[in-house]
Amino acid sequence: MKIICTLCPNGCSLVVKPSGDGLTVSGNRCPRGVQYGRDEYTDPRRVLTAAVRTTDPEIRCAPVKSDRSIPKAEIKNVLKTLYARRVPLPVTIGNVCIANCCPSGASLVYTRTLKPSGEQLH
Amino acid sequence: MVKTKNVDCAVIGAGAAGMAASNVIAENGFHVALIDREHEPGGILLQCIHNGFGLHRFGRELTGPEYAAEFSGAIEKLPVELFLGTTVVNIIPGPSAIEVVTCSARNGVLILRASAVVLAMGCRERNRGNLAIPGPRPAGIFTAGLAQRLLNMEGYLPGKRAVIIGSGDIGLIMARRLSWCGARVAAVVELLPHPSGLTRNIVQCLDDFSIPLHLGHTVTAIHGKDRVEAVTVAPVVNGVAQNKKSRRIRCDTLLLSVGLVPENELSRKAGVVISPDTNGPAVDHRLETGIAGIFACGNVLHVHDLVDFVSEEAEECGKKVVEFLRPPRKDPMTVPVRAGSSIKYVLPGRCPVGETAQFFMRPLVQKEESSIVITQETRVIATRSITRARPAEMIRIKLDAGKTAAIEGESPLVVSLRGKEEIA
Repeated sequence: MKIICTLCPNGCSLVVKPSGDGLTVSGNRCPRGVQYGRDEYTDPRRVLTAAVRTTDPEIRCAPVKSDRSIPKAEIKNVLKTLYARRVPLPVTIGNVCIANCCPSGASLVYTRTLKPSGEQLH
Repeated sequence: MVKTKNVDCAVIGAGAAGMAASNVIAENGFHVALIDREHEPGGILLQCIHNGFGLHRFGRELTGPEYAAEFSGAIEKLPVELFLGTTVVNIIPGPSAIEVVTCSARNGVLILRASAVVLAMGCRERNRGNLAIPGPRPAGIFTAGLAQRLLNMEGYLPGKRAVIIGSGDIGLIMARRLSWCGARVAAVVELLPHPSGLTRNIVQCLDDFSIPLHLGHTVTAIHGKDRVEAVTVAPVVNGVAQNKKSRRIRCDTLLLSVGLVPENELSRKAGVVISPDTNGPAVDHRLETGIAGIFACGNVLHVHDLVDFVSEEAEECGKKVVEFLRPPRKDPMTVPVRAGSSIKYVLPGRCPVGETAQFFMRPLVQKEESSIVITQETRVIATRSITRARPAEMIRIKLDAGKTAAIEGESPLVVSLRGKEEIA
């Protein structure tokens, strides 16, 4: 399998092949590429960032992120859960929006503090 | 009678640059008016809900709103007066103060009389008019940043099947956002033979969703009367679109991610000279424009790739404003700085002698194993090796006081990017 390493701007083209019990990685220009190739081959993960709908009439979205990287295959279901939600304001940066949102145990947390539209600074 | 108010410094724009500059000036005890047309400080960071910000500055990956919060949180504790929902309509330099004419629902027309002004208005997106794509004008054509705002802040999906022009990072990030929101991205079209965005974004925003990237292609026509129905895409050879090899791609939305230009309207009104190299205000070694007391920093000065560098440049600008407000300020000898071979521009345009100096520059070409060489006439003042030089990646060079002390006379410094063989 061909994998482009994203650890640094070099973007090495890695080739990951099963060999015996493990995996061999080639095409890497530095040792970090080996681990990256293995992880991406066996268990590719991503940090999810998205916006959740609020019940506020004016401030319609609150941004969230997963508190750790989650398996790519789980992202679709997490989004489905998130898009079905309507959250009331206020929300606070760092607070949990949806706890334990997927089998890998990650939670979605708010990335911004938002007050209800009637209580804006000005 | 128009209301007026005296302040030490007026900072125009409360985005990454404005907040960082304003915080430094206020930390030194000066009364700052921080002005923004939005209702919360943060600027464009607030709509960039993806992560990847702050690696240089904070050593960890933050989302845009989190990065903004690191700066906006400090504002409350400082002598910063926020003027939100407020638009600056004019800047009028005068003998005793610089008048910043503002307008808001709350205060009506209010003139802020400031000793110093920081221009931190950021940049704006190039649009369809800049690309000159012919055809009808249906709904469904957006700049990538506008689509980002609609999707991330207003909660509207701009369309269900999109084509994106430009493979810069904003376009790539939008491809992923649209995909995660249930829309299909039919193609990303890039004029250059190589992607403009980071490799990481090609992988995580296109490859993850099997979105095709057409390098060396352009959109030659937009179809549809009321709404976009399709675009015609053609390969480009030596700058000429090959119409015989063109094909139609069905879509209801076209996003343009085709570059940013500094926002110069106010700067021009104030009489600030615009540099043809950066398309932003021309500034000296203090990031001060030709008009005494008017400074500039961030994307209004030149378009950055990383917000971390915007904050750093703005803090440097803030320090220079503090020196201006607390005279007498040091007045070192300076020499002009010019872009040499393979460099598009160098900023700022002057270098102080015997003081530390920092320069931002953008390469014109792609070069491996190269070096930045700074010379004065035939003498080498400094060299720095650059493993990978890319037009999309800004280079930053710091010169310590010892290096700049070696400058002699008044002839300009020339900054060049040289390959391995050219250095000796």
